[in-house]
Amino acid sequence: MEIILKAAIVGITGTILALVIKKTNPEISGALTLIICTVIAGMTLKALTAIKEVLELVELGTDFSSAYAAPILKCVGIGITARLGSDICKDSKQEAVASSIEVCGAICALYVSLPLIKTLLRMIGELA
Amino acid sequence: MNVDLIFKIAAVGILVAVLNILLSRSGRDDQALMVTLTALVVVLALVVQQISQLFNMIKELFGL
Repeated sequence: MEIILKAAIVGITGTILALVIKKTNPEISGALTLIICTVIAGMTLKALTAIKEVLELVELGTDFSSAYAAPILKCVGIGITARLGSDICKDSKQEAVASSIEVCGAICALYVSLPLIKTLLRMIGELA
Repeated sequence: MNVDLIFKIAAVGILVAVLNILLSRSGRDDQALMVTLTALVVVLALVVQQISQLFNMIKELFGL
């Protein structure tokens, strides 16, 4: 539970340090903000492994086969990476790169959920 | 993840800033640029390492 406290402290001190060196050499301060993002993301992902175990328990209990759970988890992963990547690019004022990463994330999410859409269409076909 | 990496890179940044001012004040601007470039290469090596570690963790966790 104390991960949020650590993340906030690391984030604030890191941004202040990045501000210190922003005037003289902005590229090293950009790299510093990148390292802060990776450190905080690393902390949150450790907490996420516990959540994933509960998901697997749910999978074992019901007949909710992993064919449905896997795309959901993948979409969450794609969303996180796309969001992280595009916001880091927006920090250094590269809007075009950020939006291209977001478009790529959306298309990857769609690609991952293709089998789900196919089974849905087949089910609808059988109903009709 | 190691938090001390942040302070290490901040220290490198401050050191490079001071060195730049020193070198440019004493007229050797080209060496100031060389110092900045080498510091940037070192920092980028660390950054790339950290990012690949993070994305591997994401890949394992979400089965991407």
